[in-house]
Amino acid sequence: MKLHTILLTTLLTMGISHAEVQSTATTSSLTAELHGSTGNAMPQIDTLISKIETVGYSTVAANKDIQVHYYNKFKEKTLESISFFGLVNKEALRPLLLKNPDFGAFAPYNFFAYKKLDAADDNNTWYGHLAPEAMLDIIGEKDADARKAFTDMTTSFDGLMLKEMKPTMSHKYEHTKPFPQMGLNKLVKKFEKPEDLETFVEDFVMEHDGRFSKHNFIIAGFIDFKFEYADMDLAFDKYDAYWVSLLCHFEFSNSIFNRGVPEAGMFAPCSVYFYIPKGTNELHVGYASVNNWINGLNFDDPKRIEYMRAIDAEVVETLKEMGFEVVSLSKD
Amino acid sequence: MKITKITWALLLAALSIYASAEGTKLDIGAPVPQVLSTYYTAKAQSADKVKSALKANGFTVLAVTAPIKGATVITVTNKELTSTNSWLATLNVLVNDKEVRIQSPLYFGTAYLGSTAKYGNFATTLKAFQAALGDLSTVKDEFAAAKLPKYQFMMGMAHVGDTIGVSDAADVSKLDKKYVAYTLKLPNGSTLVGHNLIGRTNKFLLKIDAANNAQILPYRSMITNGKAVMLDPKYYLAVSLPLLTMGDFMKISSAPGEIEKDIKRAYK
Repeated sequence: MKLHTILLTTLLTMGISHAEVQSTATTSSLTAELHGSTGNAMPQIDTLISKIETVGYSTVAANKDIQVHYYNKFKEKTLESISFFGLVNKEALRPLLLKNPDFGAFAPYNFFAYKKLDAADDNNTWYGHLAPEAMLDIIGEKDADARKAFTDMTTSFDGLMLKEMKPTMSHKYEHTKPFPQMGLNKLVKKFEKPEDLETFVEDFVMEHDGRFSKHNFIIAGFIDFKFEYADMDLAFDKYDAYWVSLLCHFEFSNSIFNRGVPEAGMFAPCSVYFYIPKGTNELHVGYASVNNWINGLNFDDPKRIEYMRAIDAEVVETLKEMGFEVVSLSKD
Repeated sequence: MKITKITWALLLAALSIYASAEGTKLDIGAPVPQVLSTYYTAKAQSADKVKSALKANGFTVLAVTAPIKGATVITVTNKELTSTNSWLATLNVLVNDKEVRIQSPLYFGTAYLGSTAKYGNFATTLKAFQAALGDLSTVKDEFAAAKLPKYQFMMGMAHVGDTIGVSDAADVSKLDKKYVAYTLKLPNGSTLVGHNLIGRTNKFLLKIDAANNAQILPYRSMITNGKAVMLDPKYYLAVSLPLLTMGDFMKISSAPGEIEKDIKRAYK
């Protein structure tokens, strides 16, 4: 009896300790896989970008050699080169945007490349983009077909990238802390239906750009999907308007990419998507929160995290200044 | 006495500000200036009158466009300009309710053609503009003549030679006319294409308070042996707006990409 009790106690204890181990065990998920080529491979990156039309892609914006601007503005130079390319495959994106407007948070998605200045530390050019699973998890897309279609879209670009760049190394960035439950910040603004919606949108974009400029943000790129699909004679009737602005805060990006964490460029610039569902008087806006950066790259410097969240909050405040109300904010 | 001196000083200061606001009257025969005015202005006139006067003075009008509200831009050429076989083959004339403003062939000739451009090269064109529009005056937008051939906005940024490829199979007959303002065949066989950008793209001018310089549009591409290129907007916008600050440039960060996208639309 005593022995039985001891055995049972021992088994229970083992069970509890096993359960404890399981509860604290960390699983990691892929944030991004960056590929590497020895030396400065920026000319090859340019060649790659010149060929993306062959796989149905185009650039919304090519923000090249940003290290020049960092130096001109902040007199800081840690990077030999860093460039960002906002990529879209308009045809492949159309059904996805029609299914879920939140795909706009990665329409475009960012392909970027950097090389550190200190060749003794790292003499390679690193390039890549967020893993498709990471982007899908951030927007909270659950539908298997949509996930596959988005992944297939990125795979076609990756195929070209691997063919053209012939990388000789790769580095996987994984996160142990999951992405936030809600990865997107979403707001909405009601407006009085205008006589001319096109003029309304144009005026709004002007006001938006001016206001964000006053808050030291830069509009690093812009795409009007409603216009693009009309230009391509493709239906996009679910929305009366749909556009994406690429938002960048120069001081913020310098403080991260140019101060030791260039790989965080995989999250920049931020695709802020705006849309008006057909027949409504609601302008919706959404974008991926910096909480995704923090978890995705395991940031742990409290001061840096505080600064990142402050900039994120400034975006929300600026949108509120424009009459938007919060629908949901990302929570970690 | 003292008061009189102060009054005179104030009057002179006021006059000098007025003169500077008005610009200096262009004297084609004067010695080479060290600083070139980017544009010349003439008194306000109607677009129809300007168009007729330009035609009467040997210019061919290639297009009349309205990139932004309140601005009419008349694109012209003549034999002297086309013979450069260069980006200088066309010049734009802005007509708004305040003035008529023309792109200076001296300024842009020096920028595009570098050492091959000499002051006085474009005297015929300037005289024709003067004859058509009346007295011409300099503007505040200006840049040192000696530095203009190697112009770049800032260290590491685009030069005149930094063109962007927009098509490897360009065919003038297949251009999407919706996005084309004009085409001009040059003596060397190349074709200069003036582009209609989409309305929203043009609004970068308003973001930097540059509606008075709408004559920097239409943006152009050049087709040579089936390949089409455009000047890098980070060069062209900067050289066309030499008063632009880095802060201004950051306000229109998306403009270069949008312009490039719009130029490519014509070639699809």
